[in-house]
Amino acid sequence: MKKYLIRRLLSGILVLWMVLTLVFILVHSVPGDPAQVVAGDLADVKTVNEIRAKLGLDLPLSVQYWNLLKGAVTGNMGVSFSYRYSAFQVVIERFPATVELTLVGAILAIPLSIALGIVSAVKRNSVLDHLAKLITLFGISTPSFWLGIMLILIFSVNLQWVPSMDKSPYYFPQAAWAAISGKPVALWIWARHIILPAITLGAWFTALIARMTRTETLENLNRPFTLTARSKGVSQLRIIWDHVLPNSLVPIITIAGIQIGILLGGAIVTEAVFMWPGMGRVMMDAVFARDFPVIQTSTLIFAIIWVGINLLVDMIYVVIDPRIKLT
Amino acid sequence: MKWWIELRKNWMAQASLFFIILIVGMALMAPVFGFDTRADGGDLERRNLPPSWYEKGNIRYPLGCDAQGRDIFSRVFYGARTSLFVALVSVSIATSLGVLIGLLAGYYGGRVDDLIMRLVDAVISIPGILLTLIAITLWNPGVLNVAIFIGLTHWVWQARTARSKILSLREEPFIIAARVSGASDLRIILRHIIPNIRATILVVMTTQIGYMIIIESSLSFFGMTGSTISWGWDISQGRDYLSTAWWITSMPGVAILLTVISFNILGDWLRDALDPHLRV
Repeated sequence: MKKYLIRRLLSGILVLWMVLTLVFILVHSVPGDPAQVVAGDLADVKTVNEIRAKLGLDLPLSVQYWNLLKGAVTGNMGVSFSYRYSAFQVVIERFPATVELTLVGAILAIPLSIALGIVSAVKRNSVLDHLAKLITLFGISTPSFWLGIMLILIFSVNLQWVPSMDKSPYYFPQAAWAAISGKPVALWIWARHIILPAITLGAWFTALIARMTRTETLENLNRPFTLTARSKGVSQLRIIWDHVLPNSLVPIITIAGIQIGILLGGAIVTEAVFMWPGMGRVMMDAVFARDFPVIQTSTLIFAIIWVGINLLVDMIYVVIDPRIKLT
Repeated sequence: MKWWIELRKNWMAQASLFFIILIVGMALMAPVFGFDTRADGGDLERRNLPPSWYEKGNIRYPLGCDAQGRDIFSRVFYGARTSLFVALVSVSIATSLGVLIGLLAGYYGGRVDDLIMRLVDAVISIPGILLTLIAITLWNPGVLNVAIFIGLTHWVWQARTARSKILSLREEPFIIAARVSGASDLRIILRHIIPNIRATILVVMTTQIGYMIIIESSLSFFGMTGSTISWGWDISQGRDYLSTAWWITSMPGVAILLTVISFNILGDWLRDALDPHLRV
């Protein structure tokens, strides 16, 4: 177990190093002068030179690369051009908002999708199955930015149930605490703000996992152990809960873990549509403003989240399926 | 013509194929029908004209007009050009690159495989759209560049699929026989492996076309492709008129939805028809 963890950690670090290198190559293979790109076409030579010195772009490439790697370890990723303070801090400040949105999206998506997938598989070729298939088909085919706009059109503009943008002033723990201490309205405000972005973000993920669950469940429903259980008179519910689901979950969470990158990518788009003040927003702004330190930092943090979640997925295997031993 | 028989059994796949042919045909023929001039020529008299089923609508503009009085119907078909072009180019690039990388990893195994799979992890861990966004802002945006970048950043799916197929193929008796009889690596790959993974890759490609259309329209939505004749761009333009003219932003979205759904249904059908064991 310990040996396994160390190996996984090393391979995680290897992945992070590759991400940094990839972004480094991307930024430095720009045709022309990155400093000029940052300064804009109309900037004079002096400004461009100043920017070049400030970015450290006048240093040899090897030194810049070394600085980037060193910065990634120490958390010193340079100063953001637009915010004029530490890029690391700029990104970290927005981090909780993105985590909250992604978590709520995932919490809405995962139980719903697994239920949808199981029902679909058990009642194969029934009306329910076709309906579920239709829903998931729409889920994977709708661009999330457009889904967001349509939700705004229906629920904010026409029905006026929920606000069309921005985050509530609270995070969930604050809202929950306020609710406990006698201000339930805080929780209501929190929920009203997060519901549309969370649905927008979760829709694609829901469809993906529902489809996977359906395939996996179908496969396990035809396995010998299911037949044995059924011949012993075990109820359908027990068969699914005790035999089919545990066997289906491992591949499902593997894919879910791998696709978490797409969920985070969805956060970038969703945050832009709903003006959600998270990491995705800051990253989008940074891309437009060519704020390299912020781009590099947020990319690195996205990659760290991905590596962490996939490590977690490996840990969950052991809990779900006792046959799996991490060696 | 086995696929034809299979197709006749599935009306959803038929409808999808029909829709794809329709939209591709209309996009190609856009200048013939005058969509190109109608998509550009606005008239403020027709500003935010509602679709024809409204009382104020005009049958000549079936889906209504946008804020500059341009015909949305024409813009939908003309905009299809951008999306389909980007999707085709990027899927071709992603497939060539992905299959090549997957082949290297699966065929040679060992260290090469380890290294390539970590690279795959690295690429997967950065949201693809972010990688594309960064690349596009740094270079000059342009429809062709966008297509190339999307292709260069979305090859992981093909690579993983090709690799896992090859890992199981590698131990097959006919591959071993070929190797024993002295066939070169290149010959084994071209003559024995590629024909065996072709169907699988085709399935992935079909589904990915839909995905690429979504990526392209997201980028156009943020104005990153530099194209103003595109579904994504039209959606972003219509956002300001959500409360007065819902159709401006809804119609191009419906076009994306229908096109992507069609490719997805076709992909699912292809998978069932060609390769029942494949799970994506």
